[in-house]
Amino acid sequence: MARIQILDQVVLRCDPWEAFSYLGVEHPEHGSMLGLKCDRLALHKPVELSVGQSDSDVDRRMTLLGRISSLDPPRRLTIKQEMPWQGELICTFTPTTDGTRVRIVASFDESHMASVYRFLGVDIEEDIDDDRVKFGLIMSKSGSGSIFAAATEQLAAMAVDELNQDADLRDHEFQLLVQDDRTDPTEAARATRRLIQSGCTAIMSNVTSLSFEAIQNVASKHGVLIVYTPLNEGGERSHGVFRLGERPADQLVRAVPHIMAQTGSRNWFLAGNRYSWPRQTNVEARRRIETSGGRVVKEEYRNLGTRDFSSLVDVIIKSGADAVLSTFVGADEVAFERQCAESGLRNRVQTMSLALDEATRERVGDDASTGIWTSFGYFESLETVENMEFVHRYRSRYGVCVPPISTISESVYEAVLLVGRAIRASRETDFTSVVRSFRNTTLDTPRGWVDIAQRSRQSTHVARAVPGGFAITA
Amino acid sequence: MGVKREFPFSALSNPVRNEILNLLAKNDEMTVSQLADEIQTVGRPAVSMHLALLRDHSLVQMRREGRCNYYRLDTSLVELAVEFLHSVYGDSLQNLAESTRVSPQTANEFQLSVRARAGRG
Repeated sequence: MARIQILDQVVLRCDPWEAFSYLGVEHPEHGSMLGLKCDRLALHKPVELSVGQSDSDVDRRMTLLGRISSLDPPRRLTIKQEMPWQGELICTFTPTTDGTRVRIVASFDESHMASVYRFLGVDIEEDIDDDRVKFGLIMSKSGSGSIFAAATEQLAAMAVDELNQDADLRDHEFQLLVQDDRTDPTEAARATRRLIQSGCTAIMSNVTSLSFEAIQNVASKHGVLIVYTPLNEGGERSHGVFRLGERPADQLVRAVPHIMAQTGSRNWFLAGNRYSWPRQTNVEARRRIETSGGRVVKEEYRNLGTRDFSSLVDVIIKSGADAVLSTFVGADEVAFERQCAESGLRNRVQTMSLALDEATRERVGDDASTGIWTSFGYFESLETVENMEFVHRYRSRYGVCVPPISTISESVYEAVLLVGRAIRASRETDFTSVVRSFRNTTLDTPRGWVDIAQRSRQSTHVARAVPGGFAITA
Repeated sequence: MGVKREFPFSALSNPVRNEILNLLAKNDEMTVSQLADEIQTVGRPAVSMHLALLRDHSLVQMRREGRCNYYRLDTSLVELAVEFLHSVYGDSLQNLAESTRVSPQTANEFQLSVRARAGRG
């Protein structure tokens, strides 16, 4: 496999320790090297890089996500980049006569360069294998959603490989085609058209419901099976469209009374992003809170992409609420929870967050996330045989320096297996046969038994964030 | 790496221009009419305008033969991507090099804090 390497180096007029200190330590005047931000400079910990040009007219800075894969201060740091494209960054620090030479080598497998072209808007078709049934995956590699999308592509690829390994001679084999919606509905529509042009039989969507609406609008005209995998607010029934994830009622039905009983909190502040999933969730939340003997003191929304929540934190403090229900998603949720912790609000109120999955929790960090309640149908820490084997397969395939699995990424793994099983059962790949077969599909998955016909409800677990993950409490 | 130029983000951030680049990447060389036939969202005059802008940024080049203008990519996609990645990773280092005149006291505090962090890891 060919590799592409980008090399850059400078000599800094300081010793290696000082040069190394510019990683991850924000200097009041000069920022940090590579715009690197992290809670702790430690092995396997997540990091965020804010890179690129920024001039007075346009802000071209972008956020890269990754984790530390090796650390040897003050000589060397290696970062495995995960989003928006995969690669490796090696930073070395060598003493010279007049300072320290800092060298950055960024290297990429040729196979990952397609993601870079696509990021630039140049989306040449992949090598399409005509004999294979094509599965499209639309996920968020950039924008707010890139936080919860961690592990999604890896798990989809693992599912497709598992299906292909299981194939007997008469079975269809599958190929995965991945597109990025950049957490943006216009991009989601474009991605859908691309996948349809490439001949996809099914499209798995692991994006916000805002993007999903756009996907549905394009795909409904083309007769392609659409599976919306993550938690969602439901929606109009439409032929060939299936929503697998947790509904607001599933997440709230046990969690609200449980948290109120455990903590004595009664007065809730509802805060979330300004689009349909948070709003619909809060309609359900209000009902559950009131039937459990509590009340809603206020409900507020912020646009997707918000990073400064200081005014909202003030409003929450003044409201007298003793519990906050957050429906912020991805990078917005990370910023919100960190600012709640920094302001001291976290210690004064209980927080429940309905989009704080393992991937998002890790980015909030151990200190700022500990104690937050959540509720999902799947957690990486589920101690079932199915799940422990699943986590083991993921770790043995991709290693230890990988993003955690969460309900959002597991849902894609599950969707690929379910659609694959449906196509194998019908032995046909036309729209009508695939939809008919999918409707009757059942499967034992890492989250438990899935029966598509009964999928409008799923059982959930209530959990609390602890350092390193979640502790399931009910 | 050749002569450093500003990375052409603005030229790339348009769906019609992206479509033109996609078509040229696939088809090697095309005329305006061929491009306009494939791109259904806008008409031929708009396609010409976008081509002119792409030429200004040295992303496509033109060759005249008879009464037809033939367009092709000026830079290979790999070159374009490498140039982009260079601007992504290189700029922050350059900024840092220009601004490493930190007072000794602040530098010491940094060293202590990074040593403590690294020690915990």
